[in-house]
Amino acid sequence: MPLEDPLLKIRDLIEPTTSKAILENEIFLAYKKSMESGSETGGSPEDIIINLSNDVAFALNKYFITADVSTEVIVSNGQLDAVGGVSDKEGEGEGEGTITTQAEVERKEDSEKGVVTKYLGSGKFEVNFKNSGTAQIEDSKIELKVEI
Amino acid sequence: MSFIDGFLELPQGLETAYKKAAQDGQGGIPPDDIIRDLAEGLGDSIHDYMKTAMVSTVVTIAPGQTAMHPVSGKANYTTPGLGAGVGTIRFEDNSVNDLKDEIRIAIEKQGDEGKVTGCDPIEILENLAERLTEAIHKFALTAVVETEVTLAGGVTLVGYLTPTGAPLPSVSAPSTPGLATGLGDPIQSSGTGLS
Repeated sequence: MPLEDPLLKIRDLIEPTTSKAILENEIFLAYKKSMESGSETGGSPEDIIINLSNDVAFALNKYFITADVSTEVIVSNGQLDAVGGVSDKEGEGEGEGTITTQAEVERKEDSEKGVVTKYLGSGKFEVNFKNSGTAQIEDSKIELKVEI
Repeated sequence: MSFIDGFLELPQGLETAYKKAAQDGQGGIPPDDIIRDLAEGLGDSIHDYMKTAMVSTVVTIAPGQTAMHPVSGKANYTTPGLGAGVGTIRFEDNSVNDLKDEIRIAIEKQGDEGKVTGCDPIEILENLAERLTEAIHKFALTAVVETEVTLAGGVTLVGYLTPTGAPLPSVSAPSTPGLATGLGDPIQSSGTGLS
């Protein structure tokens, strides 16, 4: 039976806005779901662990790909120019960027592209393929390759 | 390993850590050891995933470089240079150890709070989520970002002279691999990024 708490209803009304707050909320919900499943009759411990692993992994990924990065850039001597000159003083600058988000995956056997939607346990994933729809992939290392 | 591979391995690593804890919890293993191993497994999984991330940056180089030509003398780079960086993320060992320690402490506190008579399970989970998030967030911000930068060229150089003394205009060429590099970290700013 799901736990009821008045504070939980208030919490549900407050939409977390920062990536950190969203992560905290999603980790909380993952563990709460796990606890509730554990108190239900017939809840399989293995399924509970798989669902918890799935939920925490997706929450972590959602959080981490929001990262912005900043770099200090150094240009060494030796840069060439159009008339054959060579730079003899270092250049300095800065870079601003992001984490490169995961591209779509591709099934090796037919090159169909899709997006990973769920972890099913023991190395299996649910993938939503663009043309053929949802499928379970036995082993990501064998069946999926990176789309660059 | 690519970032997508890192992501696909993340839930598998978490599953392995949780399952080991569940099996060890069936008897014979001291709770402190179970918690330590669980924290180790979760920390390794998070680290292994995050370190596969790739970054891309837009780069601006300030004017100020100088160049030398064997006949035409010296010239100054007078306009900003533009480029693009592609790179990776790594973490120092002590950051990974701190992550594992903080995960362990979060789980230990969860256990301690659960022993209190009349404790509120929801509050305990809220506290756990807060502590785990703080550990993960602190760890993510320790990332070291390293990029290889390619400069587009086209920066105006002023100062070269022809043998007759007339100005000799020039522009920079695109950079060769390895000439420009970036070093940095994640930004923590209000409302964007890991905020």
